[in-house]
Amino acid sequence: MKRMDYQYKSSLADFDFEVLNSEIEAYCARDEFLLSRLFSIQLIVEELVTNILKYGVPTTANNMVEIKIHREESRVILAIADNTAAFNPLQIGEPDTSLSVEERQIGGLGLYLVRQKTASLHYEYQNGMNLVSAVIE
Amino acid sequence: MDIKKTQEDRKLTIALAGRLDSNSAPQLEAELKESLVDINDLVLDFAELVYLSSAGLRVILAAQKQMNKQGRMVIVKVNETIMEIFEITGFAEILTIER
Repeated sequence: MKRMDYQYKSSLADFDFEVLNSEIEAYCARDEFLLSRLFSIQLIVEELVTNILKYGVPTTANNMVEIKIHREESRVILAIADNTAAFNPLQIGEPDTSLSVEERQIGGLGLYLVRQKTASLHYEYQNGMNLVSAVIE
Repeated sequence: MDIKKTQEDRKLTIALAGRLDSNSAPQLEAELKESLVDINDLVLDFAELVYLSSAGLRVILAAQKQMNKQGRMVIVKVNETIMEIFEITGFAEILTIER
């Protein structure tokens, strides 16, 4: 069976999670391996993209983000590219998950979840693009 | 996400169906803000919740903080995938969860 990649590209202003998520569901529905990783795929994409939408510093009037999902034999590779200002999300510190309710800060958990759900996570800045690739096994 | 509320005296049950993510979390946050006055027993029913991200965790933590001041909060009928998110983030230790 030929394995097609999934691709979604949008400006930050028009980014639509509902469209993205229903397309990812349709893409993963064709394949048991992908289907069993649907939750992780959507979670990693949401956390990384939300970060770009919230904190990405615009460099033009129309910054873009692109998501690619590539299925290999025994792993899935997510590639997220955007052209906001250079920012490495992997530098963000980890929250202390052992604190009590009163001590816990609200937020800061998104990238922690991404780290926990990926086999490997890589960032580079190239030709004006932030490129994050995440491997799910 | 669908939100269904049932109130008996000062006990409020909120049943969530669908996805609690960055799109829907503000909806739950607004609902809680409006509904928690005078409530001392909050039950979040996750039987039909299929997805949870950090945006949802944020709202759940804020609700737990508030309910610690005015009563108790319990989350019921949590599925395996969502339980895993609670475990990874340490939320399983700080929330009252009845599966």
